[in-house]
Amino acid sequence: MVEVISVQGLPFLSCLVMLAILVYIGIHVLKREVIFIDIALAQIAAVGAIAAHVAFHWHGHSIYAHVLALGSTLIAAAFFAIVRRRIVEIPLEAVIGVSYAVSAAAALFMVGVAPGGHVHIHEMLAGSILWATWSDVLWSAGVFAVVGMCFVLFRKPFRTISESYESAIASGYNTLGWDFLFYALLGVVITVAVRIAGVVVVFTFLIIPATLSAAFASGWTVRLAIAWVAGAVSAALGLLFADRYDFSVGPAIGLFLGAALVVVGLLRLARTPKIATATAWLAIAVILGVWFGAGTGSTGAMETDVTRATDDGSATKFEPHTFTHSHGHDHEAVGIEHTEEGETEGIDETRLASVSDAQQLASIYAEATDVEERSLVVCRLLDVDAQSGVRMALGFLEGDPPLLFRRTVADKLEAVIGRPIDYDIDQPFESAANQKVVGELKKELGVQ
Amino acid sequence: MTGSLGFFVVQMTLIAVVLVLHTYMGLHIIRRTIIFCDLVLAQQAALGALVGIALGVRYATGGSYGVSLITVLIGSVFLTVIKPRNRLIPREAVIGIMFALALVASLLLGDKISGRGAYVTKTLAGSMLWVNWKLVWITVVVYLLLIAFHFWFRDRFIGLSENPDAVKNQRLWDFLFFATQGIITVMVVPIAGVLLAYSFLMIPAAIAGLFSKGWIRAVIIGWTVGLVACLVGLVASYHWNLPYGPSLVLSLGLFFLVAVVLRSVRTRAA
Repeated sequence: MVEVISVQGLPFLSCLVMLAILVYIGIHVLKREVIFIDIALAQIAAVGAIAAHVAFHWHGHSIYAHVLALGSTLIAAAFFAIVRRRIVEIPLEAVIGVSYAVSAAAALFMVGVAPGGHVHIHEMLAGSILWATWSDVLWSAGVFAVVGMCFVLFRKPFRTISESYESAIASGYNTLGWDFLFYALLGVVITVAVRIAGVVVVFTFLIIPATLSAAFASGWTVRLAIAWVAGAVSAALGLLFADRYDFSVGPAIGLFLGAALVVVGLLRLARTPKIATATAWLAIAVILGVWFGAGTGSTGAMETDVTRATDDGSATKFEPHTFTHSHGHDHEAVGIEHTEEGETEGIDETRLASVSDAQQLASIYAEATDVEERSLVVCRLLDVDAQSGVRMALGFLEGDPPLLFRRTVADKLEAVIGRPIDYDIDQPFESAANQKVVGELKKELGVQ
Repeated sequence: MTGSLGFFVVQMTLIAVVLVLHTYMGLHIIRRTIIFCDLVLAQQAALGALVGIALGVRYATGGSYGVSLITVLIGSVFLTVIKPRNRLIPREAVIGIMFALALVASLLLGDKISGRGAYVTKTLAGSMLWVNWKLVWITVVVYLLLIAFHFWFRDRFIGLSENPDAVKNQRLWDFLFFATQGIITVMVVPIAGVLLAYSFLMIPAAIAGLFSKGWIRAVIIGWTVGLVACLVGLVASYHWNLPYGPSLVLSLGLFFLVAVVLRSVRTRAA
């Protein structure tokens, strides 16, 4: 149990900090019917960060990248405030939806024009709450505290506008200004939270607890209390579940929030009294919590966690290595990836390392069930016997495997041959350019 | 040159057909404020493809389309049935949560499928590179059938958006609406990718919605502007060798921004 707390304690604390503010904003978001706002703002912030990377080569965690990300969300906040005021023909949600699509396209566009931005997209979607550090928690808590103060200070105009835009105008509020402030604060919170936890967790934290609480009460205070409890319990369950059964943490938290909503929704649909519904849900949560918790404490939870962290790490860190570093470095990154990928598959690099017979490797290759395993065998054979390795590598590439494995094998080929071989992994094997490369390679090594 | 010109014509033909139905469906979606439902169905289709892979069905084959179609129809049933009576919970919120849960399911399933990253990217990105005449004909035929169906029963579907309680068998028509959307999603996402499919649906309709309250006029406006925007995007993408899908979406987005500015200036003048 102590181990569980030492591993999951910080991520859980980080969840609590985020829940504190996201749940409150979520109630506003529901009232305003701008459900998309979180995903759109997160995407827009990512565009800022990618632009920083592509245009100025600023690192994703540098202060400039943060400033640019924040700047783009502020522009978006101004845009949404103006549109809400000026456009009555279509709902704001539609404009937000379009903004999401356009900013996502902008991100893909920049990545397409200048490779190297990939890592930001991956980071943004997946998040890495398991990696939360004390500085993350304290820093985000500081930011959220300031934003929370603003929400407390200006609660009257914010609430009036959330309840009814028209009556807010009628009572003489400067809706344009207040809306800008609201969406700007939202932008700050979401930029910070998505950086820590990824879009999935932030979106579910924002919407689900607020929806759940509406099933029980309509007053702000009671709804907030219910939503916080529901969020905290689901986050705890998600963390324990992911740890015990080795799933990604973010989606697991989302799963339990969703499950809570389904249970409550069904019970309420069957006209179960509110108290009974809440009790039943809490009871289920406690039983599940004990179940998951009991499994994790005893069997070295630490280790599984650390390996998962490196898994995430190699997945995100892998891309920039291949784009920016020398081949020697590539090689290392690939190695890390393989150890990890292989571990779950049965064929892993350590096991393969003990096999140095080309024939035996060929039969392992033939028996391998998926493309990851095959790529491992190819790399091993290239180490053992360059000539048959190249043959196998070309056979592997001929099947046009997924990009990642094409890159792995192409890089390995280069490392073994000792010079760049212009194999274009973005093109199919049959393309003229690649056929030329393959032809030269075969001739050079006398491979048929 | 003739090769690339032919390719160009194929793509524009496909876009022209796709845009008719998408603009019309998009108008419904915007007027009912159920913006998320397209992403729900697209995510359901992707989930279906992943389930297919887990069951050993190869991606982008007939079987994979079949599994996607099944999951999409299940999604349509959920979209139809789950309607909160609580006025504190907008329908869009429930739809957004369904999207999140479909995404969660895909990610969790992806954890247990090897080579997952590649498949998740595939389902997201899509590529018009697969566009060939056979696929164009299939898509055109399916779309024309759906357009005819929707034209025939237009009173019911428009009723759903304007005065839902007056429509008999409301749930049935609601289901047919989402099912149509699901079918076009399954057809178009593997070709265009989630993002472009979603943009085809939302942006022309949003532009049209700004300038017309009617249905037929709005579809004509949306289709025309959408087609011009796609042409601009496509030409730019060819001319400067820019990424294909994002160029189209950005071009559509630019037209939308101009439309928003025009509209707000006219509102001020009025």
